[in-house]
Amino acid sequence: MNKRLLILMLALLLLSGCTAPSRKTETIDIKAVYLAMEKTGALPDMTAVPEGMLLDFYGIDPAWCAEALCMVSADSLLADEVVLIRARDEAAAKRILPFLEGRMQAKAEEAQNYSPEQYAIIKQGQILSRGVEMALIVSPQVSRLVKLYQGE
Amino acid sequence: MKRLLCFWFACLLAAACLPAGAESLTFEGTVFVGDSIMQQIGRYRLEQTQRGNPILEGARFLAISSYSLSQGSRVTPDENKPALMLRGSRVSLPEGLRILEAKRAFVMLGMNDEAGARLNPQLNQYRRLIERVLNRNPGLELVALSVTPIAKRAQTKNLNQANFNAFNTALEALCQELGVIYLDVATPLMDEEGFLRPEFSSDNRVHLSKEGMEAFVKTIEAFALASVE
Repeated sequence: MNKRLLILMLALLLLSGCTAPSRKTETIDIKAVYLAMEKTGALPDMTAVPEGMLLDFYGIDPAWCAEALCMVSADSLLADEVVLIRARDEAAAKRILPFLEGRMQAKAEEAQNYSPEQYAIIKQGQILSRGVEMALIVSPQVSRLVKLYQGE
Repeated sequence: MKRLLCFWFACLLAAACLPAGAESLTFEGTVFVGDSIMQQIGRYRLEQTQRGNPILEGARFLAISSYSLSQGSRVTPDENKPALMLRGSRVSLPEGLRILEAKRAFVMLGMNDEAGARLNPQLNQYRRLIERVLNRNPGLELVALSVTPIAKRAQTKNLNQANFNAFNTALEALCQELGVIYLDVATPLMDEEGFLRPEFSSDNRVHLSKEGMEAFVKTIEAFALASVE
């Protein structure tokens, strides 16, 4: 009996060890993720949109954010942009998401006739949202940066 | 003791020689409005501030790359064209300045309209812009900026320095008529022939290099300092 119980417990331990860690349950280390994105060399020189400008620039109230890192290209002629946000809670996340979508749409409208090259990059841009974690990523290498964000 | 006294008097004298407004130059309440060139200035300001070299402190920017004089002159933005974005919403220029409670606005528009190629309609649009902005923002100090120069080899039939010069001259006259300040930001950026200096250009067309942006900011700061004194 003890042997069977032991085997059962070992089997259970083995099974739990096989489950891949889920990004869903982890808190994203926003700074670390952005640092990893920088290290790829995929981004041009970027500059931060300070917290005091979040409202004017994005329409996002800083009070909705537990943490936010908003980076735009230092060269305003390039569309590259990385916005990584952890909302305070799910309700705040629901308020933030439309503003990220609006930002993406506005970027596209601005570039459509002005810079077809940047417009094409923006159209491939992605907005990601899972629980309180959300991101807007625009880059010629968006897939690579999205994978980093998703912990792949 | 005598040396200490002399030193104190020297310090007092030096302090008295400082321009009156040097320590109080601020751009709080100032909004810069424009197109891709003004957007460059705004981004440059962010970058410099983060590098520990704050410039145009307190200034805010309302600029998108494709912003036009025609769009800026409208009471409500044309829904089929890019508009200024503020707090997640499309806004007209007069309304954007009102929301930001602007006390002073520097406006630089016309490049995306091929300034000077259709001079009369463009000046009529600028007149409407000024009137509508001031109507919505009574007491606002509006400063109309000249369009900046183009690189010599980048000129086209409609986008050329002769047209820009005609536009700027006409804009200056319009400002005088309407009692609005006109500021020439073009001349400090020009070479001997009157085109955008190569070292001030980032793309050999109209956009500014870091040196060009630095020169632009210096012109603005000199104006602001003169206003304080």
